[in-house]
Amino acid sequence: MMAEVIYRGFCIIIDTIAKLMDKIRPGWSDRNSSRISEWKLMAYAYSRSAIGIVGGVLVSIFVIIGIIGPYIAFERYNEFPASVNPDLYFLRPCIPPWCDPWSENLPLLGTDNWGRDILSLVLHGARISLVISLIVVALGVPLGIILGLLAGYFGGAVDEVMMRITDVFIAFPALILAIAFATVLPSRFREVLYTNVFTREFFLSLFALSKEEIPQLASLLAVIFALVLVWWPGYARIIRGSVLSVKEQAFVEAARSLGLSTWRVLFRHILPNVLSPVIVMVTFDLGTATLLAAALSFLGIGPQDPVPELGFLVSKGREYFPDKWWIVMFPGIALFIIALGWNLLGDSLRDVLDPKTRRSLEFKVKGKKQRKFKSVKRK
Amino acid sequence: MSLIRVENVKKYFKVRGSLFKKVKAVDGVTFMIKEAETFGVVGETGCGKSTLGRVILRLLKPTAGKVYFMNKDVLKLSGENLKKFRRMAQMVFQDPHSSLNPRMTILEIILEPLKEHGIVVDDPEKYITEHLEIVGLGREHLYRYPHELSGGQKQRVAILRALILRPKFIVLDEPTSALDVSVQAQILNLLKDLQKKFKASYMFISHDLAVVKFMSNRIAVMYLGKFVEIANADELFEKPLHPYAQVLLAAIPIPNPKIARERKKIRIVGEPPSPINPPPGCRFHPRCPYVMDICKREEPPMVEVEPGHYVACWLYARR
Amino acid sequence: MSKKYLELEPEKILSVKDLEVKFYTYAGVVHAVSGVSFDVYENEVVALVGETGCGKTVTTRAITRLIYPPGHIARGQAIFRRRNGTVIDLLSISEKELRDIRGNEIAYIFQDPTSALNPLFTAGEHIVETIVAHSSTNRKLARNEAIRLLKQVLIPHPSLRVKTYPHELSGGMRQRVVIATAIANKPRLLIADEPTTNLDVTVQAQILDLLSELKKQYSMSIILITHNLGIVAEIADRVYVMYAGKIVESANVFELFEKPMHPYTRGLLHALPDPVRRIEKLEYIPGTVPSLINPPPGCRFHPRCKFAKRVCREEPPMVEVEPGHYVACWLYAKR
Repeated sequence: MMAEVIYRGFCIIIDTIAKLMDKIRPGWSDRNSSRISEWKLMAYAYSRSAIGIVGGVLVSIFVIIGIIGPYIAFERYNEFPASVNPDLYFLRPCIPPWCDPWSENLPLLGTDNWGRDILSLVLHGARISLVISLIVVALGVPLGIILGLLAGYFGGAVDEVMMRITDVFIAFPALILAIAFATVLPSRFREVLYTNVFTREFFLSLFALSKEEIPQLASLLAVIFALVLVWWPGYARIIRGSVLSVKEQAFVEAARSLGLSTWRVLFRHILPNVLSPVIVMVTFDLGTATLLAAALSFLGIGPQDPVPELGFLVSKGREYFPDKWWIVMFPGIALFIIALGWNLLGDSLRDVLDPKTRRSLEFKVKGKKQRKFKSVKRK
Repeated sequence: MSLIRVENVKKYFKVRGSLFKKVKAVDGVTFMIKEAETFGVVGETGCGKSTLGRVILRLLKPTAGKVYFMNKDVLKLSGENLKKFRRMAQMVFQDPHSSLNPRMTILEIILEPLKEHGIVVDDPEKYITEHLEIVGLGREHLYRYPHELSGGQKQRVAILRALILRPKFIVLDEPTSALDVSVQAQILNLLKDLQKKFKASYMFISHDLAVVKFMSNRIAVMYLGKFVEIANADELFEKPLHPYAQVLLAAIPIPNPKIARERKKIRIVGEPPSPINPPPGCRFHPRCPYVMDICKREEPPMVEVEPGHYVACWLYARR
Repeated sequence: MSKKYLELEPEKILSVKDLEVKFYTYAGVVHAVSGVSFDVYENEVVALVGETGCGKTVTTRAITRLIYPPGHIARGQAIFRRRNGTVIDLLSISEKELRDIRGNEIAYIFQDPTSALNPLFTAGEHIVETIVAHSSTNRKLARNEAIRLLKQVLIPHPSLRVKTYPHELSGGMRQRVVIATAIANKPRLLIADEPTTNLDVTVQAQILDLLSELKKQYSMSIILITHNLGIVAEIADRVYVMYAGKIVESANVFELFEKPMHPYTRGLLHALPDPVRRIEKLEYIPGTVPSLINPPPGCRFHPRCKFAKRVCREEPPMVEVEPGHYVACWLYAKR
């Protein structure tokens, strides 16, 4: 029932897109009818996957909060109510079935040592986490794809050199790299951020931070930079592997025998055929990058007070744990949900995007008849 | 007039993990292909027939030897001339399921060679539709993806992709071995019709003797990287000279139970030896029923026994 | 339900009746095999001929219920006479009893010898495993038997070859090992699914010779599945022609090649390039094999048939046109 509704919903969206494209370029939906039916097939496959739907819901909640979070948070992270009214720090959480926040006049998720509202901090932290993971993946993945493509296609010495570099980067612990960067880079970044107004405003608005946090922003960027550097090798490896198998396929040889240039063969024929594992891996990695960035801030590498990075909030709350458990608990839950959402979504996308599994998705035959052969009728 | 001339072409592949071992896939092959003829190459798995086709098209670089296309050395072509050669010489591959890019529509697949060679078509949709009709497809296939087509239809698309540039020479590498009998007949007929229409020369590579016979004017029998016999198609089937050719002919299953059960069975033992270490002398001698002393020592020369009928066997060569 | 209702003529070894196999896929229900009936007599080679996807492999796998989800045997009987003379329905006996029959009384040879052999087992171990699984002999005796079997399938130096691993053997040798494994328990019925498709012609001829030799020695019956009519002509005694999940014609091999009746059989025979004659143009069957999700109504061949009439949209009955020659076509059936 639920699945049917979701499938119909997707179909309406797809049809609307097709109609729109038809308006812009007449005949579009005619020419792309195969693609449209493939999309619908994917939508169908996705709608039948329970984990995919749960993952999708969690991820959309996270993404929506990541976008609007800082605007709906009713307190800014850099306001410290406890300095005005000392009664406001360490207020306990007040969650509806057990406690009525309106009549008790208590915050939903409690407050921290400065009296900041935890809910607002988490809402803001979601934005920071979302942006970190997007930047890491958006920079690391294309780098990995290009290097893997070149290594796999040209083979020989090119391959050897690139793959050894990849090995070095994979062997290099992200943590040490991040520590090194965190000590060296922030001062450079700070200079840039102070002098270049455009860059400054861009990143401040991206993370929804205020001007006073420029030093923190610089260390945040250092963490991102470190993550990007350790991120591409995984992609270079899987892309190289896929390229090795795709380039043996006859259509690549056919393309070469037609006299196509190397670049055309690479980007028109090989690249589109190695991308679907990447999409799945990106989904998983958006979760992993969030967690890794949080882990680095937890260890004290990265932004400091008062930036509400989720990992940093957990690390700070540790001092007051287990008495003031909510400071650790709610940012932790937020991180858990983010990682879980991306992983569930990735798991189902792996099946949805693979044309083979998609086409062989079984209709579940009801009952156990089929296995026990009791339904074999006799005359 | 010869269109393709191949002189003593060799192609050795390195064996992984060994400095000296080499797979001698093609080991000294000389022949020529005339204009508008079909030259069949028949042989068993691993005899080097596909490699030979790729070397001629310069998809692989030969270890030694020369290939001439319209009297020009193919291996020395570069830039514009190479591009021209690519346009004139095309290939159709064995497995239609993997020879079409699964992410491109049929229109894109067929338009690509035109674009690459700078041929501008006013109305691509109309132009391609007309050509699709020639190979027995239609407008409704323009925007389909390969996975929506049957094996035979895919092979038609692959053939059209090779033909759209009006090449003079096409290598057909087992174009029907992945297809069913009823579809194979459609494709073979289509290839014959297209040859009449476009006046191209074919090099038809196959392991299926009956198919090669149907398609070809002349046939070469290949064994372990070498041609052992070249003859007119009919002559080869009536009077095979090389013992391997005789065995090969005797082994084809004939779709007629009476003939099949009454004919004399010539059988040989064993399977082709590895091309890494081919036997010295005549390569067929370990399996040959007529083996002589000299076969083990010296390689037989290719001799013209009758006009146009060449064989490399000591039974026919004078010492 | 009980076995006393089952009957089988004494000269028959297997009788498949009204078999129906469906596959439940995302795209819909695939009617892979619809109402297939055929018999196998003692000591004969029965060929099941048809093109890719016509259901010939599924049919033979269904005989011993080697159909896994999403596949499903919907209907039918496979009456088989066991070595001890009891007559059973393979589709309704217990899984345990069936395991006892598979690899023992009914053995399979599959198309690809490479994937049929476990790369971690030697040639000898494959055979020993099969023997030990179905009898109480010890491994040592089984090993000697393995050497004897390898010799029988004409593998040179059998006592050395028992110890080799599949990757050390050539394609033809591998298929011989597969055959030796299949005949290890002297099966009464050997099901050979495209046994020579991946092999070269010269090797194919060797394997076919071997199969007919073994048939005589072991007095077993063989079901040969193939798409190659040439192979059928070489070794089969009787032929069933399958099209789109149904049997369209069956006859003695000489009769079938001489007087093919069903338009599909005729088309198939004419589509083959004949190596003996000079031909300018092949006859061919237009169109392609229909999807088995929505098979055409009635005779499944009618959309491609040049003799199609209105009546072909109804199911044609299987009629005996000449003794032993059956055809399911409205050209030969009376309404």
